Amino acid sequence: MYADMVVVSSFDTTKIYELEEIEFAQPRRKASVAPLQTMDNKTLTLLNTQSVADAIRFFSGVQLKDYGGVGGIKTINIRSMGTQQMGVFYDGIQLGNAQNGQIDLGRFSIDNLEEIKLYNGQKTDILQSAKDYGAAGTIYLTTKVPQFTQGKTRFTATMKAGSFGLANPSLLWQQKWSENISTSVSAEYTYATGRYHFQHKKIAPNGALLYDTTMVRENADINAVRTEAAVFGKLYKGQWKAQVYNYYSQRGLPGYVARNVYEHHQRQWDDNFFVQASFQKQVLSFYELLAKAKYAYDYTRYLNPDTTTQYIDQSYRQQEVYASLANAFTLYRWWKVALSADFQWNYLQADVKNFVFPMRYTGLLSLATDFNWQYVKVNASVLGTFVSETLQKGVASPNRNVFTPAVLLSVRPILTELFDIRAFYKRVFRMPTFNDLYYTFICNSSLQPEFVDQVDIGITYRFQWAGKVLESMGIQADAYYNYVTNKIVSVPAANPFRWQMMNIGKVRVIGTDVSFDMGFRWREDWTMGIKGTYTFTRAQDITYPNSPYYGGQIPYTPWHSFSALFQLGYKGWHLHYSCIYTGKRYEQSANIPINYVEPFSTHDLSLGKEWTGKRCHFYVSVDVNNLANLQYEVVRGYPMPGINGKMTFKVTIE
Amino acid sequence: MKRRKPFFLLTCLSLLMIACTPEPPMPEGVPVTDPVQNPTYSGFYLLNEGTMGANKAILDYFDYATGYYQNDVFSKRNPQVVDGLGDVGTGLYVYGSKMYAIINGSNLVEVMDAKTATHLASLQIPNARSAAFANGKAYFSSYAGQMQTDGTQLGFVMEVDTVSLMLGRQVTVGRQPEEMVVKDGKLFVANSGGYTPENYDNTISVVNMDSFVEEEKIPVAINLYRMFLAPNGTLYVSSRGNYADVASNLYAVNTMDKTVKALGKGVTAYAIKDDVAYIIDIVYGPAPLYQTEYHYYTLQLNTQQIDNSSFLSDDVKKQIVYPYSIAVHPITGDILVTDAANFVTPGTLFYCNVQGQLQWKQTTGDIPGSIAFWQ
Repeated sequence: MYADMVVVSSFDTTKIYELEEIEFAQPRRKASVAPLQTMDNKTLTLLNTQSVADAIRFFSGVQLKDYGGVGGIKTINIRSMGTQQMGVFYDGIQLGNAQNGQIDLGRFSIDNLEEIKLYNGQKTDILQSAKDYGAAGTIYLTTKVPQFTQGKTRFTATMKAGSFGLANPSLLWQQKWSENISTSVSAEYTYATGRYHFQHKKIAPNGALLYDTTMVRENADINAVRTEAAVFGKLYKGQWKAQVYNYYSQRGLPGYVARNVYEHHQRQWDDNFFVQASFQKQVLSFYELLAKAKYAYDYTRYLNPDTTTQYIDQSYRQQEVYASLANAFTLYRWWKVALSADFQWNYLQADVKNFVFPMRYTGLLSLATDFNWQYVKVNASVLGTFVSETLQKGVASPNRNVFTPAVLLSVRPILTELFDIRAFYKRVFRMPTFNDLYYTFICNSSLQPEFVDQVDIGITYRFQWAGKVLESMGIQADAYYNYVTNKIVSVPAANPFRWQMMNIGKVRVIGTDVSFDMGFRWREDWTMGIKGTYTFTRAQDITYPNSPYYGGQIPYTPWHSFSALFQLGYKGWHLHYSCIYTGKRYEQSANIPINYVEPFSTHDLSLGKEWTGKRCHFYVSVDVNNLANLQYEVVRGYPMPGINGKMTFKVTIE
Repeated sequence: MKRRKPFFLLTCLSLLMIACTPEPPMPEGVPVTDPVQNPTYSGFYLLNEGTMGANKAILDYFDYATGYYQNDVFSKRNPQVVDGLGDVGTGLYVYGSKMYAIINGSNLVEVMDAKTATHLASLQIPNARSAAFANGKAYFSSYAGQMQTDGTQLGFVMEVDTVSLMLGRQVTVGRQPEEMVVKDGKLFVANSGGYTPENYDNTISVVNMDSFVEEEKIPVAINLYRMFLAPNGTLYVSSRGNYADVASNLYAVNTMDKTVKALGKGVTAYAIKDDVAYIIDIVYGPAPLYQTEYHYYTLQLNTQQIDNSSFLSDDVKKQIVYPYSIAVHPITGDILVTDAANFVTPGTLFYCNVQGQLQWKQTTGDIPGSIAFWQ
């Protein structure tokens, strides 16, 4: 349990979930030296959010940009370093987007997820690929591993339906073929009209109503199909896994709301496909090996049929090949070293005139060492990244060879107490994306990588009292300083209609992340869990020293935000309440009244009941979101839905 | 408590007296300069574009008689207009007693009373670009014309009666039409073709204003943009080039024999007083530095003579981050230049005298783009 702050682990409610699972990949309770937040399957089930992005809001130190609706884009920014500095890993392998560097977490359903982990700095398993060292903050999505209480076959069917015309059925089939081989197949369909009412209202200083109009959010419909299959294998002192994933969607892009612009007509089609495999084995008593491989194909078609503005119909095809080999050596019981090498190939095609068809080769080499003494843990690593690009025409970005270090430290002053003090320093960079380099009208292939330096110091404390009403309590708090240089920002070129990317941005971030949790249990059947997070962020735009707005808070970054979760369980009944507060923000780094964005808080309530039949397990829940029916915007011009609801019915047959 | 009562009453009484004292209404906004006695022009309006999708087109007003500058007059005078002035305000014109603001992103032209900036009408003209006025009619160019079978899109010009504010005749012109000029019963339209950089338009459309049909096209150069007229009838049109191997240029067009003469200078922004055009040209340097240079020059419209000595003092030029638009007082010749800075923070208005020396400056909204004087 050391240092692994499973903040929500006290939400221990149902018999079925208490079953042991087959361990896959890393042993679960491995110590983390870096700040780590986890949301496990129980919490995910109770939260019952539509996507991963909605669940991640409950982590501290995270800013979500939510454009509203079921199909709206939701991007996550960790500790104000920028969306593209974040890595998202799906079952241990990074999801790539060489085109724009953004992963839309609104597209990942929690339906087939076992847990979500968020690391600041980096994961410090010694046996990990070079890519695990390559992002400023990382999110790990882990899918469900087959689990069986009786028999060899297990079916789960879920139906969700609710506001915005949502219909969301999913199926999961888990099969055990032998002691060592099991499979999992899942499919999910999401349909929503995406329609909801929003209100524009203005009241004069004297209290008179100037206008109050209610409109409907249009062109926010979505049709999406996720299909996934995986094979899990166990070996002597090892394991392997192979999986295939496909996500197809077509959706309307509801766009911004402005005067006389209450409807947009743009549409988007996406197909994200990947096949990946991993293999892990303790080859010798002192040598462990982890190999991974992936092929991904991503298709996007964007259509603007509206001839009021420019008619656009463009398709993009991205391909990625990835392979990784990680080796860990145990030199002494307290000293491990690891060497990992990754290779990646990206290619982007488009049916756009004068497109350059960029191809990128990336080699990554990481060397890491891990000292694990009684009182102190140290993890140090250096990552070398070697990038080379070619274009079909034009001047490609020059080769880049960059070395970035990281040092993480954790101290436990009293061995009997689960109290740790930790600190880390990490330098990391991101390559300009293909869009940064080659999409703008004026290609700027001389763009430099964008760098981040991070310093963090924090504590974790965990109390456990077996048999007491207050079973456990945990707190973790971190203070950090981030400095982003060479930040890639778009600036107007000679002609204001034509923008270009430049490495001129600088951001300085000082922040605090705090989270705590409490778990109660009384009279056998009653459980209660409380979890809270608080985030303070001062993220200053220090790009233009001569600007009067120098040092302003960067766009859409609240100074204060918090989240709270409260959960009560009794004999299969679950009452779940959650609250998110996002403080005042500005939509530009000019922190002036016209750019002010109102604070908001949303309150969600869920009531669920589960029961077990002979070979069946049922779960029914009713969710009401935004109880106060608050009209709010996360991003200016993108109104969010008012009060809305959802019903879930889930049956598991074994 | 009892002892405080007289004091409390006294306070109330004095407050009441203060409230009752008649005071002249305070001018709105902030004082930026000394008042001008009997100004020839009452003031000027400044339209800030705001970035696309931000719904932040903002109208500012400066009043000569008080020397006060006021931000965001439109929403103050028209609080009942849903969602304010709108998204991306790209052009501002005063004609007669009315003021016209092209709100490009909101697909409308806002018509206001020029004196009070109160809302009169919203003309539903999608993707409007520029305006010209003649004989009680307003003409608006728009990108949103018919799609062609080859995938290109034509633009159109809409005629509007400035008294009834009714949309009138419409004529199809070239691709992505920009600025226009009225001369001798004809409407000249600069076509850019900016939607298809691999195949720019290169013509001026000539529209007969009686029949309102496009009579002919005068080929000039690719990507035409700015257009203005000399007192002697010479038509000037600027080309933005292709931002690569074809440089921007300015052409003097003889509308009689259709001859075209290149003057070898670009035009990003301009303002005209009498027979002189004050021009800002932004020149974009080569890779990898992309050093941007700003040229300030004047053009004698009748003689086509160019004077490359700057009309702004060095002190002002140094302060400007990104010169975005220019206006010249029709009587005094005072020069107004706006600075859009980094386009996502508020800009600055530099008010200079006729010698180009700074008189005062004032913070505007985001992307200060057009200025219109009001008599």
